[in-house]
Amino acid sequence: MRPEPSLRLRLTRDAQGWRVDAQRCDPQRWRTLRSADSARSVYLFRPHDRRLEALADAELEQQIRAILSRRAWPDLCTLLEIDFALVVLDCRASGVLLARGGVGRERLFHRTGAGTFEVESDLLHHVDPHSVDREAFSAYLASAAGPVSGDLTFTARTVASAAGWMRCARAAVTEIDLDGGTSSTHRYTLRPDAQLRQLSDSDLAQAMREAVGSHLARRMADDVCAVELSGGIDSSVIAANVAQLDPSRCHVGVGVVYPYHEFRHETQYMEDMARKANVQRIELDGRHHLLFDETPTAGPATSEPSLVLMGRAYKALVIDAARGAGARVLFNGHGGDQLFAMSPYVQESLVRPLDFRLLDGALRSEVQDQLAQYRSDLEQRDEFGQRHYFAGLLLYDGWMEDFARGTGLRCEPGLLSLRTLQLSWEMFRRPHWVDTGILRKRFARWAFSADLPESIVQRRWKVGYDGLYRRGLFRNAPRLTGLLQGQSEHLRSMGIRVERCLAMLERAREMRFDDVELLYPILCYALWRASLAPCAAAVK
Amino acid sequence: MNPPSTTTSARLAVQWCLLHDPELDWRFAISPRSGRLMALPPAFPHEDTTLRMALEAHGLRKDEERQHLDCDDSTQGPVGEPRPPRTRAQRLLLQARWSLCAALSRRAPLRSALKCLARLPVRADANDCQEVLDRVAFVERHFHPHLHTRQCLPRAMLRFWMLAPLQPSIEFNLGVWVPTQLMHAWVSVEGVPLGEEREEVMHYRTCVRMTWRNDAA
Repeated sequence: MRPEPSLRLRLTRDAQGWRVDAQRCDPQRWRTLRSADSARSVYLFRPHDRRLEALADAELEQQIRAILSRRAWPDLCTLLEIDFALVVLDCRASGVLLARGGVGRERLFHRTGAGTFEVESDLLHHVDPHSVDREAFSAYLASAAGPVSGDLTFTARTVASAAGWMRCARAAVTEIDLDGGTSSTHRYTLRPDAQLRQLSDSDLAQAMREAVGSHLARRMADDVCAVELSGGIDSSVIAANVAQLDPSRCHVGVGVVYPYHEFRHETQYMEDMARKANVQRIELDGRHHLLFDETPTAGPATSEPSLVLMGRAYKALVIDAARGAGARVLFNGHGGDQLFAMSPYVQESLVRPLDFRLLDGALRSEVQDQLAQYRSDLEQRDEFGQRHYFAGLLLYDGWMEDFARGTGLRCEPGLLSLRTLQLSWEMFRRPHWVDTGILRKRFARWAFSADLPESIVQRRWKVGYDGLYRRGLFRNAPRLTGLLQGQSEHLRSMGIRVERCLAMLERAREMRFDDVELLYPILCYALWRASLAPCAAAVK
Repeated sequence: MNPPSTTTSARLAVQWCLLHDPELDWRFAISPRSGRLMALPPAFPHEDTTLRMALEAHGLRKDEERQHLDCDDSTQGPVGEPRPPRTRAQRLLLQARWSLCAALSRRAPLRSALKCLARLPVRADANDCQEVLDRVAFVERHFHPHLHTRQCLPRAMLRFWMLAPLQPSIEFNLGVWVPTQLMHAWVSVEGVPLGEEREEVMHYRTCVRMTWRNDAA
């Protein structure tokens, strides 16, 4: 049985106008606000923010309404922070407003029919793995080329678009006029804060510490929190702050260790950090949870293919450990690279080169067109000299949420917030903090040095994970070969050169890392289709 | 007055080991002659004699010692900063040395190249280890300003060459990061890497070590 979406709304038009005739809303994930006259309903995916929780429904509804009436989209982001989803139904004015934050964890889809309008947070019910939209597929492949998901320019497409479903953009507001049948999308961007230029380095570091602390304080649970402790700077900063914010509890650091040569010092780093922050360390052996490794439990299927599918085994391991320790929130260091190591002002392209020999001519052209659009859209600069990628707050999509869904655990990025991004941009404006070559995150080490053990402050960078990717691919190559062979007909019809993929898997050991880059999304697509098969069988 | 040129009376001892990855079940060795990586598949007969014969076919000599090689990367050593030499002549000389090392790394058998370098006279324009590292960092950035174009082999060869007269013994190492099959070259003294970023060198397992013992030092 495919799981129900957490939000499902259906509006129909009758003689009196538009009315909601079907509604399903998971109160664990969505907060519902209604205006006094019930003409306007607001559905807000952001139930885990202490500051918002402290606001009464009426007050929050009033603030949102004030922002919407002024069409001040950045203010909406300021109020709701970086990862929210919002649906506003105004039956009296025949208008719908859909908005998503920059992280955009909860997806939103909408569809207009004859006298009907539908909104869903997930399309699993509507996805037919045998009939996937070609344009959505090429956008998905293109999204493997950089630290961007296909949201910015291709948000309209989805794998279920054949049925008329459109996906809402991240970091954007979509306004729909139900009577006129028109819609418009406004992208909102976060501007650098010019006042930060007055700050000295010390003040900037202090502001960063406060921003991280206040962000974590908003997201922490009133219970034990878990942190993915990797031994690097990002997760260590989170662990230190979590322990300081709530010293009354023994928080948990979940550290995955590997018995491989290059990881032999990582355990020591994790231990040092756990001791310094006084968190309980849970050590997990990650040897059997590499990329593409199988998990005992299948996990929930997702409505769209995603690169995170290849790391499902690792994520399941970490989530199970956090749940076993009684944690209600699991903080990760995602976004730490963007904050401390990826300057928005440098010239290097965000888009990685791909080996296109795995695609036939037509699909290759489509993907290359998509990448050209990415480049023109993401790498342009705004008036402050920042590339649009950063100004638009566009970050990874999906992350761990799908894997923790239904477990009662929240997986949260522990560093990303509007304020930390603005502070990071100011830091990158100062040449002495910009790393050339290897990214060392020197500012973070300096700013948080009092919270970190000496060993982590002194280390120059963290070990590379390329070897883990390789091992995972080597180990699972026979199983993945079977997977591709089983779906070869469909993959060929989509424009994939299956024989080349199989040959590459056979010689996975000899492949250079760049060569296999495009193989990953293809394998994840096959995994995604396979994960839908039990659901499809049950439906049948 | 220029400092005197140094000559040495010494020999190059070669040690090697076979890396085995139990999970991937492949074995890896690096030919001391060519510096090339040899990946031996699980099907390859692993008896010592067969293996030695195969390696000898790739340039291993009978007297070269097989033993486990450790690399002590527990502390971060000094890393060269690109400080320029004092005079233009020194700068030009440094550039010529780099060019020679780069040419040898591409053209000459590795073992012969190291022997040749260690026997070439070195003007003592760098008096201690840190100064050598700084000089090499300078010339490397001159020829390769971008990180991704830098090559460890000429860098390690130049360090080896310039450090040989200053140290009683200097080791030239070649290692492999097993799952990715990437290789790295670095110099060390008694197993402790010199001028290496710890987080880089810790990925690599030493596969070949060529030790130059300087009797004259």
